[in-house]
Amino acid sequence: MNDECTKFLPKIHEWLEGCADEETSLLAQLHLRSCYRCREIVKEWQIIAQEIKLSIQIPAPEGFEERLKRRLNDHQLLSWRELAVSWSLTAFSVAASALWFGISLADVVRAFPQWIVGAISWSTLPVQWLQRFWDLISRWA
Amino acid sequence: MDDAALVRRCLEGDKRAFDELVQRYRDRIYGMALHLLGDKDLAEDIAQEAFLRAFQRLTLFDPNKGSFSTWLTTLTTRLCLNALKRRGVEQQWIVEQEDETLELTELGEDALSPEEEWWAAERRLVIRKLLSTLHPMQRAVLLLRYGEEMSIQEIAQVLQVPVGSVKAWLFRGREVLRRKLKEVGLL
Ligand SMILES: [Zn+2]
Repeated sequence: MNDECTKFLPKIHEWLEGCADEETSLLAQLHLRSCYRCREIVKEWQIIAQEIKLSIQIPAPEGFEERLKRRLNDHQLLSWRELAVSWSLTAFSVAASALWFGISLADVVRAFPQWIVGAISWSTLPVQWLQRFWDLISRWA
Repeated sequence: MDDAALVRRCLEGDKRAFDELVQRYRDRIYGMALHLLGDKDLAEDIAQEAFLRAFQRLTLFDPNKGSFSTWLTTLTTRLCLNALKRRGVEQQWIVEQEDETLELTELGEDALSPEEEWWAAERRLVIRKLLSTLHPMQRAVLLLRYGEEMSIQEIAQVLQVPVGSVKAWLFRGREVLRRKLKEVGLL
């Protein structure tokens, strides 16, 4: 392989893999047309690619599916357990919140009449002030 | 029935549909894991983990974005690379000769003479051994490109690396294999 081939091989590779730009594709094809050695290399690359394709599948060990099923079942069982724990925790927190909220609600209900009285007296304050102001003006006049 | 239909049936609660998917991809996923990890027990563990995760995340699979096979291979490859990272060392795969020859004949060749068949099997065996000596990323790229027929862009997404790195690993990986096969007279 000469220096020119060494320079062109990455370009040829890019062109074959379909990721070369227009100029690189053109240069790669031109070189390939004129170079027997690079054509041979391309053939060898293709053989390697084919061999890899054929060797990707390797029979899984015996009992693979059974072991996988067992793992799936264990996992599902665990999920159910986790779900049960999570539900119990949620139910407990809801009950606790309800209890706490119930007590507060009772307090609120109990204090409600006082709040009403307070609110009414507050709402009449401006009227009272206006009344006093009017009295003061009338007395002064 | 195609993969997408099987996935739909799985999601509807049909467990046999998932069994069918496992049967369909078992050898490819185990093969991928064994090529990448070089350890039979670990490869089985990771292959099973890949199926387990696929089952758990089946709702996330979108057939409009790609095939089930690509999705499952992506899961497997990432699990393998993480396992290699955890180990921190690249283990060499010592191939058990008798075992492998048996597996190779099972794969079959189209109308080859016994002599050609022997050569092809020998070459494949050497390629497997040579693959195990490559850097894990180079190995992953070669397996995904030629074994799984993924595009360079898809591989870059699977490995979460730039497209340029994939191109470089692919070129160097294939060249290393070619030169070594030449050296031993198998090309
Ligand atoms: Zn050349």
